[in-house]
Amino acid sequence: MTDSLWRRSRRIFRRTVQDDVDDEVAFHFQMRAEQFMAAGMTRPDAERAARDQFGDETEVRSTLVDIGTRGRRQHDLRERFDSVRQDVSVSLRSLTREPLFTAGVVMTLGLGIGANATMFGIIDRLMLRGPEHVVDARNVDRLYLSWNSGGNGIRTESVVGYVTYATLRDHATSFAGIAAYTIAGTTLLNSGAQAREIRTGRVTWDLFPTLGVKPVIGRFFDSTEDHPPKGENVVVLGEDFWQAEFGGDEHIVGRRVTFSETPYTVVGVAPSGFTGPERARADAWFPLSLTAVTKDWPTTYRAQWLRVVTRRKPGVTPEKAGAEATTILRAAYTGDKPAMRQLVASVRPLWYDGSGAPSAVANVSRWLMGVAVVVLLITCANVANLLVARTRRRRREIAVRLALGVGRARLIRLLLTETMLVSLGGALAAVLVAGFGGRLMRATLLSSVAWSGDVIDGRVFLFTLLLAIVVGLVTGLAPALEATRLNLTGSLKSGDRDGGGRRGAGRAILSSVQAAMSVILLVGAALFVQSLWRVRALDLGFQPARVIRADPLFARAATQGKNAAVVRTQAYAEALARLQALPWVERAAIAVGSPYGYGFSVDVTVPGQDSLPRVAGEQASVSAVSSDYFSTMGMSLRRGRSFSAGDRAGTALVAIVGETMATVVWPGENPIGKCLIVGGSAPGAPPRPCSTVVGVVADVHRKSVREPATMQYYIPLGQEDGFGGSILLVRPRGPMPEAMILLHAAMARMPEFSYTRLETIQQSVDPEFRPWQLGAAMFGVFGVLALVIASVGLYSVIAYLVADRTRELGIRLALGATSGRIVRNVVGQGMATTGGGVAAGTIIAIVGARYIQPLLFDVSATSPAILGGVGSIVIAIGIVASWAPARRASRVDPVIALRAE
Amino acid sequence: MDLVLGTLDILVLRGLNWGPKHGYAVARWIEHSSGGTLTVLDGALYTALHRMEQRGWIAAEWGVSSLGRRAKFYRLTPVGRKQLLAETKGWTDYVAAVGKVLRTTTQPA
Repeated sequence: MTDSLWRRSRRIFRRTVQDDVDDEVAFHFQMRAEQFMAAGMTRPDAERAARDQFGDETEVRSTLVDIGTRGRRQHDLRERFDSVRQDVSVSLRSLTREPLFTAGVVMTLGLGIGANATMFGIIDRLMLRGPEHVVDARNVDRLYLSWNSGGNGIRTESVVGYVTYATLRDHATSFAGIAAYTIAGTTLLNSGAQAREIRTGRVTWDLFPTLGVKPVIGRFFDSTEDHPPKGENVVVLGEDFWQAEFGGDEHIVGRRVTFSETPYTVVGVAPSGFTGPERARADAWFPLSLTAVTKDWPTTYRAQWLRVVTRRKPGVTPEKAGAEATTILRAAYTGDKPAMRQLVASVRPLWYDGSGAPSAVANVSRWLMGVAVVVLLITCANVANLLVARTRRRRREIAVRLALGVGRARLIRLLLTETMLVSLGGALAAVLVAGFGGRLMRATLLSSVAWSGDVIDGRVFLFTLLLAIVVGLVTGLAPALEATRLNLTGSLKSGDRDGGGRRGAGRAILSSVQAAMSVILLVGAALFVQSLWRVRALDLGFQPARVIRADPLFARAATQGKNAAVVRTQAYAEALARLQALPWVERAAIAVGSPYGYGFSVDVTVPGQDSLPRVAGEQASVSAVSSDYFSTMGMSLRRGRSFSAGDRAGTALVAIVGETMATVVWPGENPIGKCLIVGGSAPGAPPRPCSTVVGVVADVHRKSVREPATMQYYIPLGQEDGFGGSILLVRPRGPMPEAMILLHAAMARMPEFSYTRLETIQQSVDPEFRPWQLGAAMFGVFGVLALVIASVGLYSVIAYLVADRTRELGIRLALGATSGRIVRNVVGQGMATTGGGVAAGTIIAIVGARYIQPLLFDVSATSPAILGGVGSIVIAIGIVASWAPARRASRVDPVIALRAE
Repeated sequence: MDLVLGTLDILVLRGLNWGPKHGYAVARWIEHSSGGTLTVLDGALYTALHRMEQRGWIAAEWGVSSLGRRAKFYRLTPVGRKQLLAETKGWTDYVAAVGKVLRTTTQPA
């Protein structure tokens, strides 16, 4: 209640109370005066005596008014509370009388509201609130630079040099804080067999104050410890890492911890969940100035490896901040790219991606929120329908109440109370749905986003509650108004017998729309699921799940000295020999250039051709591999022989080509024995010798599951020239998880290596499946949701139609219609409703096919099997949904149907 | 004689025990039945009436007095009746006890 209303109502109480007191006291004085006059006093004496007898009149009057006012107010409150309680208990009773209806509405609302709560929770975390521990995230942005790159048009980048950060820090006035950081990296904790990789953040000291994060213990490093050209060896630990590695030791500050063979002094601990601006978890934070990427890194425009995060001063718009940064950076630029003197700087929210567009995750989330809102609208319409049907069933009850003099307002309040109760029930169900949905979304869409805690928190709960109340009002008001605007005599006489034909049609159309939407979403789900199957089943030309890639880091001793390169080659060869000797290793190989790893291409020609044609716009790619490479990778040899131990540095030059290269370079010929000249030669130098083709192998996917066939060839390890970078490939006999552990131990025993990064190639392939996984999950969840809601809706429409036609059906039965015929008739009606929706949905799916086709993998968006299958499922569910009311209709007793309401 | 503190309520309740009365009638009844020895300020009487009305011991209703004037009539509620019984018993017990003490002639041991 508003203040003024409250005051006004109090004034009204007060006036009536005052009047009562005045009247009562006046009457009393009159009686007393008459009494005294009867005893012989004059009127003035009598009146005075009466007043004396009364005591302090003014005080007594005001006491009486006070008592009365307080009493009225209490009484009024009690009455209001009583009537609400009464409404609630009446509503509860009437809801429990129809448990199916109640459960249906609560479930529908739970799903509809739950979907929205889930999406709100995610968008709230991702976009509204910013990364954890970032204070007042609205003013925190990332810096972007845009410039004209000539051929590729305007480019926008978030990666800049230290000099850009330093210039803005020293000259810009728009920012309350500005900091630079590298995108997540790793370092080594411990050494030898205990060595393991931990995640690092390398940041300027001002990152912490700019974001507003507070240390758990100790402090963050400051400007005296982080400064060019070289900062101090200090580190801030992440709370989780501190707990796990040091047991949350309170005295960690000041202790020295060794990372990558260098000791660092711990100065503090950053709170759990703090990820910096990128939402990437870090175990330890180092001063940026310890990372010297080049000698002149503080001043050069050539080295670009940082991102910049800014906090605008209050009241400074992003446009104003960008404009200031533009002016400053243009004036300060001393690099050699003229386009950069015309650069445009801008600040954009942290949920934008590296090239300044809203990130894919944010896009998908917003898109999903849109779908969720549509689902909610359908839910509301559906619930409103159910409520209308229900109030129609209760027309007589309502008419009786109206006739008995229950006010219309009171009746509307009663009906609204019912709706609010089911909405609140729906809100509770929604919280469960959101808990589940949130976990699902995080597993699919957000697996790469660091995030602690549950999707559901106080804000999401509040959102759910508010949404439920709004939905309750929206869906409940119309039916309540409608129901109480009754023709009393008509309703009392006929109950719910007549009327409603027009609305019946409207309800059926709404039901069709729901079916259509289910079809569209389910078709989407089926297309993505099939894409996912196809892409998983895709032959990449090798077996990514069976091969572990081992990428060792050399211990410092092995990287220094004049003949370091020789030492390394030797170390690899020894490691390979040792691995091959292990009983659990089936095969092992060394490769320079491998799928989902490093890729190389060098000039390659064949005698008689000026240059080789490009395939899919790419030059042929080359790998230098040891003899067991093909069997290690699981690649099949199509022709000729594989490499043997005799193919190495110093022996005859040989090569193996991929199938595509074989057919492109030597169409219609046998490539075995042909000459391939690998590596260009300087002008004037003698031509390079031939590498003789000795075999043909299957093509492999080098970078992605969605790439066209490319030209590939292989030469023996040691015969390569001008490229390098070896990795070890291991194909174990047993299951992968065990093999990883065994391999880790085996590599740790080799003193030349300080640490070896291990990964199956499948782990590099898996992220590629994410779009299809996401699409399948997203469309699947919302599709099934829509289907459930639609079938509840259809059920209610049919049940309502049956109730409406009770008399008609009774007459039919009386005239000899069989119950089977009635069932067919009613189910037919349901099928017509669903069928119309399915037809519409299928047409929309076909029309929209070209929009979704680019997102699919090897599946036609108009696949008849999918369209037909989904249509059949939805129609089948339509039949099931109309079956129960049809059965009920066929059991109508003609006599009762004709006589009763 | 002035009233002992807290006894006004019981007198008023007792007065209403004979049937609904307006405030003036209650005052007159107390004067009459005490033979004029108890003097109660009318203001205090009305305060007591209103307080007890809020407590639910008595209920009030506007009616017409024997002389045809509009007056506020009070009557006992069931709660008030119980209260009257309880307070009456409490009072008589108290009076009896005090009386007994005052009549005692033996010297304390």
